[in-house]
Amino acid sequence: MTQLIDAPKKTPDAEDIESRQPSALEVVRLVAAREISAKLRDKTFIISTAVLLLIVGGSVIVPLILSRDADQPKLTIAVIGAPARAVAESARAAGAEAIRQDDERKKRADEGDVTQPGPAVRPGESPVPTARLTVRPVADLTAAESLLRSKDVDAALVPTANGALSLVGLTEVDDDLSQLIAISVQSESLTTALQAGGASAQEAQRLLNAPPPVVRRLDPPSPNADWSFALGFAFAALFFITSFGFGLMIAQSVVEEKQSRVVELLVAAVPVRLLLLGKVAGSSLLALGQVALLLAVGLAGASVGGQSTVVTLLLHSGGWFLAFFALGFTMLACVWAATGALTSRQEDLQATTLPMQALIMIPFFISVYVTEPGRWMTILSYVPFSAPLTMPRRLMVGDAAWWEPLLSALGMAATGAILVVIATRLYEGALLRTASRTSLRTAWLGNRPVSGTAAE
Amino acid sequence: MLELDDVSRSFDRRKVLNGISFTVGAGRLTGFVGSNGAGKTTTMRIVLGVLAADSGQVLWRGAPADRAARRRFGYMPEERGLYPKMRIKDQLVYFGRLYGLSPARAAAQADALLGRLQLTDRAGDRLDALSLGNQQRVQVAAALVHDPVLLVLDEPFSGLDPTAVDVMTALLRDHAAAGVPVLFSSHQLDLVERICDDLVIIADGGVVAAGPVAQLRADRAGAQYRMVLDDDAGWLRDVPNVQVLDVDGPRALLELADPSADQQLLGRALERGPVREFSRVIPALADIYREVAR
Repeated sequence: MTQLIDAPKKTPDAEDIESRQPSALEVVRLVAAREISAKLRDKTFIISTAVLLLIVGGSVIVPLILSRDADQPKLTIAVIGAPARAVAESARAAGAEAIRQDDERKKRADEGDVTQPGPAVRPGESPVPTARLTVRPVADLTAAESLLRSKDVDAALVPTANGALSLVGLTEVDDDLSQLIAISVQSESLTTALQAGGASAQEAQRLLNAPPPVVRRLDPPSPNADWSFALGFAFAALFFITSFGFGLMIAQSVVEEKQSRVVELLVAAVPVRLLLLGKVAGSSLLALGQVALLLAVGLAGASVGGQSTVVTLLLHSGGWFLAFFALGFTMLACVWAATGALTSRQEDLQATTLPMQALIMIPFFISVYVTEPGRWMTILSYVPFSAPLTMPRRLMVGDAAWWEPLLSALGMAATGAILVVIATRLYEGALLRTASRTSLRTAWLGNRPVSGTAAE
Repeated sequence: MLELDDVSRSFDRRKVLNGISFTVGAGRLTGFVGSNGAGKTTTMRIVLGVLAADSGQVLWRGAPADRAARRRFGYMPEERGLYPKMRIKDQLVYFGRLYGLSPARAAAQADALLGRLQLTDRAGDRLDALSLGNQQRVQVAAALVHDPVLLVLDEPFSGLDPTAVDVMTALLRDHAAAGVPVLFSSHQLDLVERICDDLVIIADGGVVAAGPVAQLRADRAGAQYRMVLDDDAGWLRDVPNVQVLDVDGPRALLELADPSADQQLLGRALERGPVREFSRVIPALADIYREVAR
């Protein structure tokens, strides 16, 4: 028979210089590193992260693209003859000018300027539509109609028998387009009339394009109100989804170790407390990494989309959000691990983690309703479980003094410290229990392994 | 080397271990037997520090076994288990490092063990991709990855096919031969009898017999003898102070009223003809076990 294992070469008394007592920090790092690498090889984790990234990236970029297209439609018009072409060209210029003014206005709003140029309005008209017009001269009506039917043009401007112009569409004529054409026809006839009255061409233009009065508001709404509301909600949702997902992940990873029975070997090798700390550290780093990645994608998306408001808000409050996320997540992470230790089967996890689910869900739903700064939001921003959801929002809208987040963070840290002590005890007491469910009482009084740190 | 001194432990007011004391000597292959629920697993867990003793202590080389000492113990729990989704080499390296090996040393140890276990080509496979037999081998490797100075194995033979039993036996013998004390529990008494140097039998949380296997058997040997002659052994019925328990042609099982009279009986038998076999009946381990553990 072949020998399975060679006999050890040295005597047991020989101290192995390459093997030494690992420090507590080393043990925590080893456990955390295993936790992280196991997750990074987990297809479910990779896919769910990718989906989250797509959602965040998409929800920043897509609305920007959609809103731009809706505000500034691209239209093509076919024209027959010089008069129609002149009118269409004038309409194109008016649309382009309206777009320029619109962009100018948005830019000032982004910069927080309370004075704004009013929208370009012609006498007796609603604001000039912001549309990008393309003029396409054609030879005759037949050609114009075929272009209309093939949808290569949106409308055709054609001369009628009495010398006037007619705007032809396929099923309908775009409102922006008909308005622009109407304005241009008016403007053409006014120019003609002014010139007939003795005004020069430049004078006629100046009269027609008199700049609108500047609009100034004494008490303007916060320039970022909409965005900060949306971002505040996004932060809260991100905290909710991530802390829930990663919390459950910690509990599952604890159950996995119980279910696969590997836990007994682990407990024989390292102190239980360090095992717990390592698992929590690894998962917290992963969670924080994912949230930071999502923020970065959001930031990149906003930059690409030219949303300087969002970029500014994210840069201003993203750091606070990360800090509160880290505190809020690690505060509960040990408790997640303890709830995992209370059961030996993944199937029972739903029941043992119920209090944790409530602890995350209830503050989230409250924070969805309490969105206006005020007494309630102030209170919520100090309650440790809702602070990660509300304090970043208060900071974003400038509702909190500089010391407030620090005080709130201190409260969270203190709560976290108490929870760690309780959770560690439950974890130690329940870890080696093989019953499908361990009661809190049993875990609290439980059969703890020989305690002691690696440094002992 | 390893010494348990009056170790007691209760669960929920039920006394599971009641003053357990025994030693496992250097290089001694020590079998640990007892019925289910006798406290074997609890005892082993206490040795490894997975459980704490209520009273009494575990000594290693004369000093209470602390975490530093226990770090160099190798353990194979009764509940087998490693990470199902982790690659087997990563798994061994991980445990090696938890036991305090340097990264390079842990990797070298893992490679060496996988090589000897003929699992080198599976090093990158996840544990759950392996057959049950191969998973057992990885479990063994996990107990050995840090070159333990003491081996504690809970039911190492359970679920093994005959070839794997031989492999495991060789493995335990090799370690014992190198001076490592080995303590293992088993229900397979014939196996324990065959390979163990020492034996500890526990029942109801107490040690009922402990010592070298040969001595335990000899101590319990009674006055029964087996005799094999060439001719019919029926005449033995007429010998005074000899009770014939069974005669089957030339073979007889006897009980002597006075064991010191064995040579006289042998002399008488030789006068009548050749004696092919005359031996004291040494009880099998199973018999002793039945006697002490009921």
